This record gives sequence, structure tokens and C-alpha cells, in this order.
Amino acid sequence: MKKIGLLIATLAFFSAAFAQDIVVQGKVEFNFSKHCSIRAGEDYSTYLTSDADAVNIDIKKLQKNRYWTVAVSKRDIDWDNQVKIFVCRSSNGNANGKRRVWGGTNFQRVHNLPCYFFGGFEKVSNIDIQYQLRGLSTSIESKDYYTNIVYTLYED
Amino acid sequence: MNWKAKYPRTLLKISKLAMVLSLSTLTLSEASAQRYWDDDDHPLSLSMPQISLITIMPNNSAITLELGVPTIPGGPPRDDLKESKDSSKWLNYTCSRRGRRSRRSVDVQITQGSIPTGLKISVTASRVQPYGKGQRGRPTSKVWLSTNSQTLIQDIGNCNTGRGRQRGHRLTYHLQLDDFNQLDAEPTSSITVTYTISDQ
Repeated sequence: MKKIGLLIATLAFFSAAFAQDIVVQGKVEFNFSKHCSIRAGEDYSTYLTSDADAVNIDIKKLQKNRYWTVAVSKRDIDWDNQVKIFVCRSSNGNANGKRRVWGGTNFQRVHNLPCYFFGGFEKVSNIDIQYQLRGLSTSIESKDYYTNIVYTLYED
Repeated sequence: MNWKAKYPRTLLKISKLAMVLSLSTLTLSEASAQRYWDDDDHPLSLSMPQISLITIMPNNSAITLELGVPTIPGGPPRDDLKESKDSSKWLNYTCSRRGRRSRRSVDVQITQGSIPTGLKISVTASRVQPYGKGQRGRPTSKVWLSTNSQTLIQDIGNCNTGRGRQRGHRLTYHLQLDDFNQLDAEPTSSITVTYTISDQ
């Protein structure tokens, strides 16, 4: 029975060691008063856009010759859905000088259900992500709103 | 005597092998199944500021209200002429504040000068024009201007009226004779009218 236990532990270790991994670094804070000023009677007319490298994504621990895709969604904590979140990929990341990421370079809306965002091949690090908020209005209650942006990596 | 009784050690080995194979298959399939995806997240926050902005459009230049000459000798001056009324100003505002149910109002008062004795001036706000967005305010009835602050528009929620002429509420001023016997014959007099948006 010891042999059986050892075998299971070994298999579990190797499966974990070769499992793909997505790591998201950064947090995004939009402070409206810093970005925009309006006059009496007016509504907010502009979009709020984050820095181009607001968030970085690393794709790692992939097996060789593996394609993958990343989906994006949001998990609301306290969010007004009049405010629409858009996301785009603003860099190709680092893959030993090779271009191994495609798609996601146009702003697309982030929904509560995962939607395809971009795809790639093997390991890539430091993929920059940019955000944009649309639908901002003074008709939205003044307070702080929170949500989580979720990135899901699927190995093809 | 059947083979199970004849070869007990062989049976044990077969059982062990079967167990190892089934566990290995289970572990491998589970490992590969659960590791085909992974996720990670980060927080995103938005801070919406409190805003209260109000303006008179198209500008805050002075308006002139006049009484007409009497129609009969010794009679009172006329206050039903178009010169005694003005509807050229519009009130625009933008408001956003904490709490869905909180409301603001616009108050009006004379902050400089005084209305000549024997005369009175009213101001009326029209219903809001169909521009802008959100919970825009509701006008009260006619307000007689005085140095006391009086509510002209109430129930203002998170909103904006649009900016410019034909946006927000039209303001109509009307100069009227209050008491002919107390009329003070000043040729001209000026007052400053101030509108304030604040918590209701």
C-alpha cells in the first residue's frame, strides 16, 4: 500500500508542476474628481481611461506547444451597471522576443459572464491591460463602487 | 476445488494490480481535468464625487423691469405690460450626492438692494425641459422675492438639466404694483437675486 500512496503523490506533484497558471498583478482605481471637471447643467461627457499598463498578466507553467485563451469577466461587489467597463490588451508581453499573443487589442465590454479576450501560445509574461469606463453620469449616486475583474485561462 | 482456492496468492496479486491501475487512472484523469483552466482577479474601483453646480443662462447680466405709464390721469402705473415681465433667463444645474433618497432644492433670495416701496417682484420657475438626465427638480409655486431665502425648486436628485437656453427651468420675473399709496417714486433701483442649491 505504501507503493500505491507514493505513486499517487508523485502523479499529483507532476500534474501540479505542469499545470498552467495565470497571474494578474495590479489594481485599478478611478478617481473621477481627478480626471474630469464639468460646468453647471452638464453631464460627464468623456470616458475615463486608465494607464496603458494598469494591470499586468503572466501566463506560465504551460506545457510545450500549448495554445491557450484568456476570458475576462467581472464579479460585482457594489457596482452600478450604468457604468460600463471596457478592457483592451495594450502590449504583447514578453516571450523571448517572439510574438505569441493575439486578439484583444480593441476595447471590449466586460460582462458578468466570461467572454473571450485574447489568445496565445506557450508562456508569455507582462501582458499590459488597459481599462475604460463609459456611461458615467451625474445621475449616478455619488459613492465608491467596487468590482473584481476576473481573468480565466483555458488551455486548448 | 476451484482456481480461487487453488491459487490464493495469484488472486491477491491481481487484486493489488487492479487497485493500483484504477487509482492511477483516477489520479491522472482528475489531474488533467482540473488543470485545464486557472483564474486570477484584481480589484477595480470607481469613486464618484459629490457635485452641486448651478448657473443662470445665457448669462447673469442684469434684466430690466418697468412699469407702464397710467392710462388715466392720477391712476396707478400699469404692471401688465410686457416690459414688466422677463423670461429670458434659464436655471441650469448639476447635482450628484450620496444616498439615493437624498434631495436638494434651489432657494432664491435678494442679497443686495431692495425692491422700492409699493412694488413687488415675483419669480416663477417653469417645469424642467426634457433635456439632461436623472431626477430633476420640481418647481414650487410663484415666489415673491425678499431677503428671506425661499424654495423655488425642490426634489432634486442625482441629475443634470443640460446647459444653456431652453435647458433646465425658465425663470419668469414679474414686477407688480403692491400698494399704489406707498409707491416711492425712485426712477431706478437695482437688486441682486441669488440662487442657492443645497440639501433639502
